[in-house]
Amino acid sequence: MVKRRIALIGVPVLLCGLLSACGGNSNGGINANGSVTGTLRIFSYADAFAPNVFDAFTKANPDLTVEKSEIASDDGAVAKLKGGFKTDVVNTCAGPIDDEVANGSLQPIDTSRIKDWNQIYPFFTNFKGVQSGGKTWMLPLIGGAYGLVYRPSAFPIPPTSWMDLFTTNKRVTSPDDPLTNIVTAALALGYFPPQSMTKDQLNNVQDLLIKQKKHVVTYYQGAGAALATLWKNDEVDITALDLSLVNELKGQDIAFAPMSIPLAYACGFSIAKDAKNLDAVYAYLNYALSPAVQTVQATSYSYLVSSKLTVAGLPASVLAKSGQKNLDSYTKAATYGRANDQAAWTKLWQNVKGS
Amino acid sequence: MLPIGYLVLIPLFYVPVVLLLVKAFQPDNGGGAFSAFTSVFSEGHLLGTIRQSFEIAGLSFGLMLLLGYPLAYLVCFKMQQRFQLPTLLLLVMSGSISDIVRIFGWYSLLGREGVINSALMHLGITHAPVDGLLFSRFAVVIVLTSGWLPYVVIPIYSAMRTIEARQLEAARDLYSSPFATFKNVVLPMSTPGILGAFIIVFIPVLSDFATPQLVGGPSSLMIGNFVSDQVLQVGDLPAAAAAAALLLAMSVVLIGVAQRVTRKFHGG
Amino acid sequence: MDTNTRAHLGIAGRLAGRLVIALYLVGVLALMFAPLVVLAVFSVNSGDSVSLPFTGFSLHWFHELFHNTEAVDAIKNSVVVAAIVTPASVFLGLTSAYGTARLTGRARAVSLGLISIPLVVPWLVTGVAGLLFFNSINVQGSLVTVVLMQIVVTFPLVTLVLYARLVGMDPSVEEAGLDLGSTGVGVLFRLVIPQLLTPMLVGALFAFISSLGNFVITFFVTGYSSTLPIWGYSALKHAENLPVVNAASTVMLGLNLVLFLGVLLIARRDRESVDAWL
Repeated sequence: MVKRRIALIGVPVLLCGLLSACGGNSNGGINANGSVTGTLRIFSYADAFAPNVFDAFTKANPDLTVEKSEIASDDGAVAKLKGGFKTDVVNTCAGPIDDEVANGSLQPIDTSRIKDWNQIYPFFTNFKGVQSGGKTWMLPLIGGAYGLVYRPSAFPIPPTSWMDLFTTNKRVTSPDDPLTNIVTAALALGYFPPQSMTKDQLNNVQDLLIKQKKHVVTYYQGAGAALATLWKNDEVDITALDLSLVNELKGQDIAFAPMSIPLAYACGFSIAKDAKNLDAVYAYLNYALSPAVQTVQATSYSYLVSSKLTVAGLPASVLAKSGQKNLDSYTKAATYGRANDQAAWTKLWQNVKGS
Repeated sequence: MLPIGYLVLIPLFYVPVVLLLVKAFQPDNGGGAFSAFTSVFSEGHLLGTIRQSFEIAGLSFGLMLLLGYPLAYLVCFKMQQRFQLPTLLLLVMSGSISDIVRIFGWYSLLGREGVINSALMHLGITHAPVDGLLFSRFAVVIVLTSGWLPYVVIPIYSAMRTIEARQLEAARDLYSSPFATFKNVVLPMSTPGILGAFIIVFIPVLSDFATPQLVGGPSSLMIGNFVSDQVLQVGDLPAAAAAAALLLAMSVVLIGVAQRVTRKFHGG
Repeated sequence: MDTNTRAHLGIAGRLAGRLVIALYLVGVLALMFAPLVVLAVFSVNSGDSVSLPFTGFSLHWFHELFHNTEAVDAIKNSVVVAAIVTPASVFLGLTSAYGTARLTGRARAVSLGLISIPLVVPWLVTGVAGLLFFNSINVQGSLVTVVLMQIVVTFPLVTLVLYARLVGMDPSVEEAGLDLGSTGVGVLFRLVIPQLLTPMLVGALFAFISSLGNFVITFFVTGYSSTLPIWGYSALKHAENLPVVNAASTVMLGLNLVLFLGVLLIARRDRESVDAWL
């Protein structure tokens, strides 16, 4: 009996001991040579940690301990931060960032500590969500512009407008995400900007999406790999996407049709609410904006990159492949950002999926 | 001895989940308990989703029993003892690749240019790829059955192992046909295994969301999809908690009914 | 019909029966293993996709995998976590199943229900609840929290596997043991466990594999240590990573295979006692 009581008390005590041993975080500082020290916690997609992207940073800051946590999906990252996950730097995108700001998960960025902030294209700095309420919330690094990606064998005449995605009787796929679907439907109906649609316009969008549904093969989940596999297995003929997949599947039955008003997205890094080691945070943000890193992003993943300094050094072929040279023409683009009435959008999307 | 398990479950499962429910049902959090419940029910399509969840889970579990019960029987009664453990372990091995990657295996199998369609066309059975292998209710049932089958076989096998040789011999003497032996001895004795399988499989399948989303096409939503959308897309914890509570209530009722049925057959 | 024909028909019937059983077994095994086989085959495909056509044999993707430190760390973490979750789940599963099976009537039903509920609540909800809870008691996510939360959803599974065996066990054996003066624990170890070794081994492999594959809960409660499913899901944002992620999960499959063979080897060396367990 006594033994059992000891066990009853002992187990929780042991648990607490084990658990608390794993906290702790030093505040850091700056060495004489400019390298930063302490600990830096980064919550990002795995691509930011790829050796050809990340290793130079650790090499330049040998006294810094970097802790990496991988994001599996945008939605998951928002939920994890909302649940109280503690970190310093967060990989985020226009769209989810609005939720993160609203949830109080982030702190504003001091742009004066970003050395080349002024070298960032206005396309990126003006992006919905990058700045709001007079504050800057994200250092935009990469982006893209959605048009229609289609299968030339199914579309002898290339699609020309967003409406083609909704009137086609070919096989459509679309991400399981309210934003992409609602914005493309809004653009098809000529509502601009999509984020401030009226109730009637939202109803029309809903009708259009429901009408499209019988041609939708699947609302795909899990980004790049899933879509590429669907494409290669000849499951789908058309989807709204940027140039990434076309470049990835080069030479196969795939092509890109730009739209007069593209759906543009931008992603980058934000600073978490309780970030402590700000010296290291800014050192990393500056590193991420550097041409060395952005060049890899542009060449490996055909992203648009945010810094003019990077673009100056990129060969013309890379710029053409990613569509970077079109950047100035995107004066009017629908942005991948949350709606003014977000609840109405999620409800609309639930209605479409449940229909 | 029992308390050791609860010592883990109470602080690490019941306390967090109850805290989440309490938090979700606080009045300052999205309008409170009852508005969360009413909003869950005001979603007109939710009832349809629940019905569809039961249909898919029912079909899958039915198929699993149909395939798994004879398998458990064969392993338990028709196989030499020294092969039984390896066979069971082999079945468990089929879960070796995480769902996230396994789904790509299914794409490559069931897709239009996948292994099955290629084989069918190569053999001249069909001339064009068969659509609807993937992104259909069929795909959901097949993928679920494939993944959960070992979880059906093993509890049933375990229950069958409790039938002793002398019981079977006595039954064979008593009843003339093998079927009567099966009906009067094997089936009743294996019902606790079916109950275990039901809890391990039917209920989690009912709340699964990944499979319908990945292979089900746009109209194969299940209640789990609703919960995941509320957590991830809408960020609405109260609605998610309400749906989860509903799922929990349904599960408790289902487990209760299943236990009663088991007791009736097994007599325990 | 003469007896000879009847005998022939009998043999034919038995052969047909055998054939049906064989076909059925092949079908079931194909259903369960086809996706694994396909993925393992494509992991040595030289092409850059996990789909037909098969362009040639190559270990390129494994080479790339072992040069990716993030992926290798994730694999190591997964194995460490599974190696702790597995024995813990078997221990907790054994005690819970034994304790529950010894209850009667309503108490047994309630206990079984309480232990089963973690299998029933969507793991997404459990994961978020765990994150909020650890945060509220100021505990940072780490592999420790991952292990704890995985145990919570894994040991009930082992419990149910063992419970199905225990509930039908003849209680008179135990009672005899108790009469002979053994304590409860003594009875468990000397009389019950030997009869449970098969389901325990099966439950252990279940726990190991379930831990390796756990994604949702691990994602929410981990800190700065990834497991393979987390790294893989994150890497799959880019299509070109699919072959490497597939190679990684094939490595895990190989690891499970080694474990499987290891268990078999132990079982073979100790044939007599294994036969006794069964």
